[in-house]
Amino acid sequence: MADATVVDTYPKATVSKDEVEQIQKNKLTNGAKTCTLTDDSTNWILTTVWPGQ
Amino acid sequence: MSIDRKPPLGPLERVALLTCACMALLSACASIQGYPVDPEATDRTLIRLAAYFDGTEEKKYEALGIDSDARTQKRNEIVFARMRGYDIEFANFEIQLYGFSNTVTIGTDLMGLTLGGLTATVGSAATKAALGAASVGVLGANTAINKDLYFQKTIPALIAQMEANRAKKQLAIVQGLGQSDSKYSLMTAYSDLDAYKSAGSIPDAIGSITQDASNAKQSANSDIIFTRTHLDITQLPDKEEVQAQVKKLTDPQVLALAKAMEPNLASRPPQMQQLVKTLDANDIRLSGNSAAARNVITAWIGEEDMTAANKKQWTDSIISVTK
Repeated sequence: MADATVVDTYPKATVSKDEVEQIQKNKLTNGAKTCTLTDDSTNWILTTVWPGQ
Repeated sequence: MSIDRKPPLGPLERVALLTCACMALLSACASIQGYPVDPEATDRTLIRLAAYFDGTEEKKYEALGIDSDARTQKRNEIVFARMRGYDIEFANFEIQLYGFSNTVTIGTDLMGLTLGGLTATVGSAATKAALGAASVGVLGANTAINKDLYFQKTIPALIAQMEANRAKKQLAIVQGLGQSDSKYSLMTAYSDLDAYKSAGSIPDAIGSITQDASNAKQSANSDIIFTRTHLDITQLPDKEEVQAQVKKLTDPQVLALAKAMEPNLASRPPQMQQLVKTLDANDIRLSGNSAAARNVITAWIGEEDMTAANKKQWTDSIISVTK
């Protein structure tokens, strides 16, 4: 089984950074191998690696 | 007293004169370098290093006792001397590449602009016509040269890649030199030195860039992308509630939960199905592998759109496996 990389994009217009950080924290405390928050001009981008076996 | 008056220059002669002036500008551009002058006479340095390349110092190394400190020191001396030689040649190569990428196009741009400006401001109609034609000719030549523009713009990337490749190979050599000669012999070092030398070449740089691009493309293709809304934020407490329940499950219960939720997967978006497929391509979670089941369930809930209906599916399934 391979790790899976998931990219979640949240619009900055309606979602704050603090809120995305809550999601990030949730993923990291619930099994994600890594979860990195970045952004571009319009979106917060959460890149999560879920572990395979 | 008679004064010899030379006849005025014809339009073509004026153009020739102006073109020569522009060529002087062009040659002036060519002399501008992006690197400072090296105070070291590297040609002489290379001559002094010749003994490290022609086998002279290698014979001295071979004559020293196996695994002695002196042999290790001689190995280091030879390796560092060779690296110095490669560094000098690479620096020269880099300067040549940089110069090649900047002189021709800048020069012809400048000449074209000058002729174009003169066309608009000086001379008779015939001169203007001739200047205009020359300007077009020069810029036309530049257009032809600009087929090399891609190469010109690529050179900084190639140089950066070559430097990165060399740094990687250099690190391997320096790490090797930290070991004794018995573990990292001169012959082994030669192999790494050859790789170091090749790392400073255009083919090696192109190979690395192509491979990186291929890897990035593969990575981009394999990423699973969800576009979220604020709804995901408001659903977070519901998700946390389900996660807390799943954490309490035993391995057999997680296996049962994976099976219970399997029919619901078809109703989820393609990204979710891809996520499950990536994590468990052979569906071993459904045939008794509890670790696979836990990984899939964890990721699924982590990325779940925890609507009321989806939450109900999870809680109902959890209740069914904990009875």
